[in-house]
Amino acid sequence: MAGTGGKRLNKGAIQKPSAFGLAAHAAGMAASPGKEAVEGSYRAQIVSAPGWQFTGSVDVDTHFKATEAQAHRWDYGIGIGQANGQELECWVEPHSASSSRHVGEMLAKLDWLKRKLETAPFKKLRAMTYVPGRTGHPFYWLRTLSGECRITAHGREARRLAKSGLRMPAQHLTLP
Amino acid sequence: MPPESANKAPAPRRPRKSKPPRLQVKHLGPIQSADVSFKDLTVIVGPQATGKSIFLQTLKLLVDRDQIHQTFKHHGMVFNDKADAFMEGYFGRGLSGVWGAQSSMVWNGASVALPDYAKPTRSKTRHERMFYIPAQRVMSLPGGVSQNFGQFNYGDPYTLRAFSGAVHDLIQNEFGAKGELFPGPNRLNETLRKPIQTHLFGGNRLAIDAKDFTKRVGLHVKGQAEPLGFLSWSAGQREFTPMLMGVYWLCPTTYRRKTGHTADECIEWVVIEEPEMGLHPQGIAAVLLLILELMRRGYKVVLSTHSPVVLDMVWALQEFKKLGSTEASVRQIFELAATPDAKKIAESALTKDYGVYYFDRDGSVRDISNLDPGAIDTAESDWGGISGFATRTNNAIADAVAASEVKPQRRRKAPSPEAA
Repeated sequence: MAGTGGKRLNKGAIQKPSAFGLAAHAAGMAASPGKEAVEGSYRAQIVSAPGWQFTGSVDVDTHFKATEAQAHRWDYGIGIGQANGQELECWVEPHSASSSRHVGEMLAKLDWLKRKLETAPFKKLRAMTYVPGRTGHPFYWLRTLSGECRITAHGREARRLAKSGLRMPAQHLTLP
Repeated sequence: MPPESANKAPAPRRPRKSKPPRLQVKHLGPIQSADVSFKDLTVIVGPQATGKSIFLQTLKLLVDRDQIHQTFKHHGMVFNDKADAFMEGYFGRGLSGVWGAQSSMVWNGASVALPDYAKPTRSKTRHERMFYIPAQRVMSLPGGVSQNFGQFNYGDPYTLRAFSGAVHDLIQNEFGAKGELFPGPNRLNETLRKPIQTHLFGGNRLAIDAKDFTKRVGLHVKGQAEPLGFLSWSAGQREFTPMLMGVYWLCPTTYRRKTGHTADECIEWVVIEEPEMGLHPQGIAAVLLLILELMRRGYKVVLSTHSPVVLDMVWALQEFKKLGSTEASVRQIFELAATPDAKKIAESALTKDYGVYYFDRDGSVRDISNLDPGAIDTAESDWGGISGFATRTNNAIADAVAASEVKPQRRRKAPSPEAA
């Protein structure tokens, strides 16, 4: 069931597509199974919390590259679900944290993503993002391993991030 | 105009390349295990009652054993090789038990036992090598009047008594005749003096007032005939003034404070406990500049701190070194113009080594020198807990912002009978 994040089972049966896959499809994006849409070098930095499984992922950046070449595009959307059927959306942006100027870039990307979430095609993804009393945070800055982290917790830039609803950059993410 | 020799910053000596001094302790007071290599600047952080002061006082005893015994003897205090009595006299009342049956210590590779330090060696070397500015420094100037070593009691920490004695000598003798303490005495160049003038004394003058046959430190406020009494100063000014006296003592016009007969018999180490006490971050930055000047003069400095400003500086200096930055970056954090003195201090700071150790509540001591804000180990990323509250605050705000963006689902109203 390519494109909706569903998995083909061994016996040829097709697993029911995930809510994430359907939501991504509604937004015009093809979901990949698990976290496969995430570039290989970042995958090991993202794991699921006990009891949770990845239900699909989308490369938002690549999808909008042609139509919004100059925009500060967000990188990935990842679906994550529990056995009880609850599914959440986590948005992950691998980005350098080697200087405080990257805070401005991240906030521009977050702003772009939030504006996308307000559009009709993203309605289902939005509903999975903003879930009342949800577990975990919806937006994550994944610090790229190649560089240093030079954003300190008590600096003004850290407070700008917080005020915009983005947590401090992390080297490893346990979602949701 | 100040004499040229006083205002001109002395050139630093070529740094000696040798193994950094190293102190390893086990079961010393609340410390279960520590292994600290001392750099040009070593900063220790950690919550209250984790053994930071005991560790630093032990270091002082290891470095200045004979001079400490000589000072006690000079003031008529003889311990007759009784280790407990000496420990109480040195560390302070109630602290003789810091060394127990399980305690062990290795100083620069040699195994040593603290009780052995209850008596002097047979060495004839008696000069002081470490100057210690203790956390209780405000007690060296009660009511603005300096106290000598002998005015304290048995059981008051040695480091406070010795520091107080040095301040007393300076106020009663060296500066007593001149009267002026700040900004006048030409111990500090303009680069160091101006931030203190601006951020710590607000343009007021510190002088010795010899009224009532007592030399008392007074703060002279513009337009007021009488100086402000000591207890009317701000808490930060009361804390800072004894430290300033200590820095004056360490910064004579010659290169380093000589405490023996030859140029090599001088102070090598400076310990300052909580230099930030009572100060606004701008005041702390002024103090940090003094610390960089002490390092430029070749002193090995050890600080204990609870201030993020101190660690901000250490982190920035280390990052500047990694990035190959120039002295201009160092001046940028202190907002210093490109004067020759400012450049010298900034250039020197980039040649130094820095270390940071975290004294954890569980009794362990960890090397967090990298201060990487993105480190997986929160002891390092939260800078030994100093940034922990800020991190939690930021995360809580980020979560609250995300939660506030959840719009309640609108319920469709059932059409009213009239509308139908």
